[in-house]
Amino acid sequence: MWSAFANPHKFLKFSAVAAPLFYGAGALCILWGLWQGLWIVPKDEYQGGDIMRVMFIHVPAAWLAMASYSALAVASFVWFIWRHELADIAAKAIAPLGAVWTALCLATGAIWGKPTWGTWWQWDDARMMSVLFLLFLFLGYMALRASMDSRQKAARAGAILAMVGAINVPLIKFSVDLFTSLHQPASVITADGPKMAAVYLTPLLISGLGHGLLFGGLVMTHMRTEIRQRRIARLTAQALEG
Amino acid sequence: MPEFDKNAAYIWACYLIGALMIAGACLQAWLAARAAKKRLDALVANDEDLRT
Repeated sequence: MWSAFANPHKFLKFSAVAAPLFYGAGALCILWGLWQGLWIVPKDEYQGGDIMRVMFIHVPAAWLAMASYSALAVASFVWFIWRHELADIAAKAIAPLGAVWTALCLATGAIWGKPTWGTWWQWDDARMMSVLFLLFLFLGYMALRASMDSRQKAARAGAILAMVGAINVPLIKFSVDLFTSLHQPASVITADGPKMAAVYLTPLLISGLGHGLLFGGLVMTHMRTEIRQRRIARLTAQALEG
Repeated sequence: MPEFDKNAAYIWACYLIGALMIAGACLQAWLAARAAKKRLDALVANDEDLRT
């Protein structure tokens, strides 16, 4: 079944329909979450007043940062074991977008931290440093691929880095439980279920879904571009030979 | 526009950065996709011309 999905032609057909749907649904969810977060939900004095409204962009960005690296590692694993080209194309497409959402998570986290903790950044904080390391992993993955002189070498080196770096994802998740951190403990994804009131949780989840859908649409667009670029390279090489 | 407490500047800064980064990612993806499609269409047309 998976081999059928790994066909670039089938993927181009599927994504031509799916990507616009992902963009549309993602934008709707994000806008609804934004409207709820900025206009509708009451401020929470326990969480510092209005500053908790940053949650509706910071938390989805953090989820996407971790989910995108997990997806990068899975795509790399699939390429490494089964050598499906589409998996390598997906991994290459995910990396720059994952870096964008990780940088967004770090930027909004620092801005939220200043009025809440009195500092933009804490160098010995496990949560902050592990997310910064995640950003470096994304950037390192792209730099490593770009430094290779063939596509196969780039895919192989990138896949190894992506799989090894996956250890950082659970480290981020549990950093607030395992180490001393300024960051609050998990309040949505916990063993006992969400600890957040529904009035905040629903817009947060919808916003997270929106970011995920938008991210998915962007990955498909990048993959379509990469498939075309590979075809361009092939046609150019054929033209030069013949 | 909604009115926030003394931390309004921090809230707006977060959403502004978010909007700029996400819009930038979308714009870059769209421009790259358009350029690749244009170049591939030109190459395929050229290839077909050579064959005929």
